[in-house]
Amino acid sequence: MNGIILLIKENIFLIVKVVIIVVFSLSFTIWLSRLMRKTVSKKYSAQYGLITGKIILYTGLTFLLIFILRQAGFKLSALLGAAGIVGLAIGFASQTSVSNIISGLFLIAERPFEVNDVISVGSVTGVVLSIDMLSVKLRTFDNKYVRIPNEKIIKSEVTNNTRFPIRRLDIGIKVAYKENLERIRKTLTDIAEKEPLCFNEPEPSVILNGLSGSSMDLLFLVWTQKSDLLKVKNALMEEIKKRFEKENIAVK
Amino acid sequence: MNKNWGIFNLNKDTLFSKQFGELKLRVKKDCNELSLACTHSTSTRSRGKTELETVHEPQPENVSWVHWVISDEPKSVEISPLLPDRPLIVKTESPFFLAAGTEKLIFIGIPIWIAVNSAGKEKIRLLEAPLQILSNTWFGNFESGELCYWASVRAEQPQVGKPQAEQPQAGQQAQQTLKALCSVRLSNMANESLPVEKMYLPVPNLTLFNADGRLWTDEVAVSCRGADEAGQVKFSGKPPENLIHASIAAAPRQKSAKNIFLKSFSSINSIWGFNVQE
Repeated sequence: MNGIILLIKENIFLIVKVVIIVVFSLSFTIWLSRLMRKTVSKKYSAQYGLITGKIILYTGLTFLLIFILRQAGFKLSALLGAAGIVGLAIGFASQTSVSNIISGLFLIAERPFEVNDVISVGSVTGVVLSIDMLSVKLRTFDNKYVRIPNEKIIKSEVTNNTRFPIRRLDIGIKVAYKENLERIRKTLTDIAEKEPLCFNEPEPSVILNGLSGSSMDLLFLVWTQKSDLLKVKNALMEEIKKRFEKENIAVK
Repeated sequence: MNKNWGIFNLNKDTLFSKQFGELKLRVKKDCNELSLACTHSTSTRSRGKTELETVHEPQPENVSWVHWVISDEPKSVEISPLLPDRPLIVKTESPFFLAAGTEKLIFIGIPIWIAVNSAGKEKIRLLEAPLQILSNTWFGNFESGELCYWASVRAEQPQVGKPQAEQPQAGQQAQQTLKALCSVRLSNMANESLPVEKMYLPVPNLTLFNADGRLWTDEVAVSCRGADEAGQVKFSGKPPENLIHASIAAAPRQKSAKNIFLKSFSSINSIWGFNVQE
């Protein structure tokens, strides 16, 4: 204990100097990282902003660490030599992590999705929060946090639900054989026309998708903006129920 | 300015209400708080009610209000006409072919919006609302395009022998006060005839003029070099010829470059397609 106090007393100026430099450098690095993230996100995309911010942060922290080690008297050349051997050992042990990193680079280059896109991977659907070195983070619609390793994403089928600005809504309706198809078609088309969020073009369509044992299977197809998909689905389903009841159309 | 537009005084604890075709605007004042509500009704009665009137009525239920708190107590509001905030896809009255080297003038009635501003030291835009709810539609392809309104209005032919300021005669006066008339001059510069069935009208780039109680936009000139080529769209920026005492009712929502190139005449039926799982 006395030895440590003596050591601190002998190197008080060095310690103060290092602390001041670390505090200022860290603050500056964090500030710069956030500024660049905001700027790049505005100009390009949230994903590039995230990557730029992280590069600046990690680079700044690395330089800071090298500075502290040099001030503490460590010989960096010897340290790098040891790091090489340790790195080799770690590399063998962390093949999965390396695979995830490589997969992450491919994801960034290929851009199948970006931050804020809604993607489905397997049974998980959520909003992309970040695309990191090892994994992609999603927020599901019921607010769960899901971490998916990059390697899994590269190997799986990924559906990007929000890549294109418009989406088609498919509503399956089974009606009794006794019903008049033309009348149903007119009713459904009228419902779509009266719903302002449904596009007039591409035109809504009703197709006879199949003839099953006890019903005719119709498919009601409408187009809308991707952001209005749920609203339109809700509105149309309610209206179909009301109109079918009013017009005595039997649904199976 | 037309008597339908302008500055209207507000009295405390009294509901100010105005009917514009399908739209009913309500404004309520309480000291320095303003509450506004718009409701649309497609009932026959209100659709036929093209007369604009001011009534005082008790507070209605089931109406969604927008509340504003303004530092200077607002004594009045200004109601003015406005053009829609998106382009319009207009279906021509009956599709036709425009022969090579031919020009044609057509008139389109654009359903207007209203803008409500506080009329005081500081003019604040309180509300914008369409007089008629228009349906959404898409202009483009599956991967990119633009969100537009679908106008179930007809492109009308000019009446032969009448000056432009008196065109067209169809439609009642009251209906015309709720629509802005836009004259579109189509020119076919290609060597082949051009089928015209639908038109993309860049409404946010148009200027709205008020002349003798009627609303007009500046003239749009569309030159086409072929059905698959981009057309050139020019806006005159001025009211139509022979209009007396025309004043600007609303500036364009978007400033346009001198010339816009776009596919005004693309038939977007070709973007329809479906893939149904069997």
